Amino acid sequence: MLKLEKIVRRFGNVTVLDGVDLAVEPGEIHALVGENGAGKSTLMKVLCGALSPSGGTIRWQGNPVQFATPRDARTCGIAMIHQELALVPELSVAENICLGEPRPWWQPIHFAHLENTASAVLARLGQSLDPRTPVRTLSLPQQQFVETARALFQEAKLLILDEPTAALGAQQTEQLFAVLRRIQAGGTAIIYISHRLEEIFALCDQITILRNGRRVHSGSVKSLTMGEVVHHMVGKSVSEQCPTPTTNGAEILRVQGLETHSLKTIDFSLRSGEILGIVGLAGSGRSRLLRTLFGANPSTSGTIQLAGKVISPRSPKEAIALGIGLLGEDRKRQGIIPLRTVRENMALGSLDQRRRFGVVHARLEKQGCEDLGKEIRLQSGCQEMAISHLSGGNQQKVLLGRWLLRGCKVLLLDEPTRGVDIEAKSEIYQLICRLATSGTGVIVVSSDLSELTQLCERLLVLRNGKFVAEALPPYNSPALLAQALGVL
Amino acid sequence: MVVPKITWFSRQTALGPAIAVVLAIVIFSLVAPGFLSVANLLNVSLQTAITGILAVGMTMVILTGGIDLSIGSVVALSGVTAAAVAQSSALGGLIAALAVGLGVGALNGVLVAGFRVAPFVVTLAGLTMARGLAFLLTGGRSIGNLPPSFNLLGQGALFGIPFPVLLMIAIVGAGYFLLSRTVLGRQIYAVGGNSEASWLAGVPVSGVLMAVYILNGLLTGLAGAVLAARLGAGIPNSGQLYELDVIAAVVVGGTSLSGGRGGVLGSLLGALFIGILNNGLNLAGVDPYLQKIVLGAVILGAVMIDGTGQSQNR
Repeated sequence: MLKLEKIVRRFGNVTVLDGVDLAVEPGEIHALVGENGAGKSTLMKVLCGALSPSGGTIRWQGNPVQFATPRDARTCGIAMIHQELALVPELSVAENICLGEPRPWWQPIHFAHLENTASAVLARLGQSLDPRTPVRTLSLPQQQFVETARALFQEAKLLILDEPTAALGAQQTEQLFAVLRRIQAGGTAIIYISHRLEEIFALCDQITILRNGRRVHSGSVKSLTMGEVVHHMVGKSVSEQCPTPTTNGAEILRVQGLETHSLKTIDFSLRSGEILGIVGLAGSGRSRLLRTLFGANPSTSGTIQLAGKVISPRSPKEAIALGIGLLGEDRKRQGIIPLRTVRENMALGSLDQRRRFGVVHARLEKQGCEDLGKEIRLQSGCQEMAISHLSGGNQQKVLLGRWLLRGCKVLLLDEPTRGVDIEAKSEIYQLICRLATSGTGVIVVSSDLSELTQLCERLLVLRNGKFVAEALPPYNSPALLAQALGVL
Repeated sequence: MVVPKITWFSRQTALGPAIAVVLAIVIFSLVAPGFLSVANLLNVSLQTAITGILAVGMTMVILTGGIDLSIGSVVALSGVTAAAVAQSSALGGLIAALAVGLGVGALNGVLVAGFRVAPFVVTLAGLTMARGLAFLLTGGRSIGNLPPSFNLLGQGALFGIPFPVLLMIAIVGAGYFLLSRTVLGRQIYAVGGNSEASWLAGVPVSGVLMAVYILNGLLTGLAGAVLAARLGAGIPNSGQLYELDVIAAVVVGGTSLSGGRGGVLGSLLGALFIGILNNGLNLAGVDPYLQKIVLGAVILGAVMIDGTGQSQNR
């Protein structure tokens, strides 16, 4: 029914999909798995028309097709249900289900007809929701059913679900599975994206595994064990390059019993000069942990000690004053001030160190930024450019430079190399190592396991807001991933 | 790749408005009799002075991504307060006007920065409330018979240049210095450019917003006092629609309504441009009704030609 052949997608000079094949038959539930950054979302965006491929063909029922917009894919019968649902909360279930119905704009809405249609579709899912209920009053899984019903109403032949169970409990998950099996029995194909391997084994027929933008395995789910799936996801079983543990520095950070509404009794410590990695899936609480240490999110209990003193930063400003820096995971949203210059972006975190009577000390600022620019190997002459004109890698170096310029005791890095080209990546690694050598304690969060195993001298595995394991080099990547996924 | 550098001029975004002002002067010199005389140009600058003073505060507010619709009403409120107090003390009148402005600004700041209410809504409410208060305090009547020492603020001159114009120049200078050199100025641009990133970089975002609304309030109070002194009376329905003139000046001056980009020099030129246009069209004998249409079209044209604000924001 659907055949993707040698799909390539590049962003700038980064190849995210490198000749991926995928074939889906009618009435099959096809699992798509891979680590974060393996290319799953990009592949699905290509499939549903949100991104155009840089190369390769999409065949739909035998014919090559090109989707310029998501609407094109919808018309063909490909529907994607995102993690963030696309429902109109104030409208009723029936109105939401029939939202995309092709009717002339001047026709009055026939509510009874609408409700009957909606009930009929819901019945096909085995659901008996009142079609007049406003969607905002429904529970999350019910809302998912409504969105699924809409896809069915639009006669979707292929349904794509992206982590549909991320927010569901066990019972709700079972409900969803029952619905999906009914859809499957009706001949609709489903592509199911999930990190939860046990679900995949419970639900899916076929599986395709991606790694670093390539398809590494495709076949029947039954022919594999969970261990083999994990193996395919990670690749090499022994980490190729181990970091050398530095001499024991003094303890710089100690966290005891830290809790927030999504973190449970977090205990760990960090030595000065240490690079500590946190392994965890998106949603495991890894970003929340860093943000809590940085004062950007509140903690409900527990203590944080910085160099022996108990601290409780209530804002980033306070944390920064204490000597903590955070490089946020989303560079555009949390990092750069796009319209301002490289110099101003770099100096923003340490203006209090470079001022006299409230006036920015221009000479100190310029000198500091230029010296640092050389150290982090920014091209000369870019100091007065708007930062938005720099490449992603250089922007990231500038943001790292913000904390280098200030000097931090503890530096928290959330996805430090996301969307960064290879060259900048290795430069950022070198910078992190140099920082550690100079005595800064560094915590790195990353979706890229090989990044962590290369960079960090100790790893902690975070799952559902709890630390579940600690590892020292040489690392066993499949075991780490399995712990993060919770399959072993 | 040709990468545009941020230079002194592009940072001020004042090149476009400067050209517009020069063009307007050249054109009206040719078509409007009596436009290019010292007396008329002084008149234009006097007409522009209050808009110019208000535009400095408004620029800062807009740079943070906000807006202040209440300034016209607050000008009236602080004007009548100043006039009432000036009956007993001229200096007291000025101080009272500043205090009113400060109070309103602080209130706006608390609502915007503390309670996270949209600036548009906060200041829209302020627009009607301040106007109502001005009428309530005066019973709808003007307060005249102000002491000459108070009127000096609006009617006096030094070396032939009216006080309001000198005041405007000083305030634009101070605003320029604040925005381009001080830590607060840097933080204003940062908050307007990306408030979440600024917060994570340690910028006290609420404090910056608070400071901006307070400064804007103070300048509005000052403008109210200057207007009362110029008119020789505190008039409760004065200052109507000033907010629109001032926003037009700021926008024509190249400041982006979405925040983070622009500056006070541009706003000064924008205010001058609109002042020149009003004056020149009058002198050229254009129908007053037609003038309004021309003014609107020219504002739109000026912003579209300057377009850099929009393209850089993407």
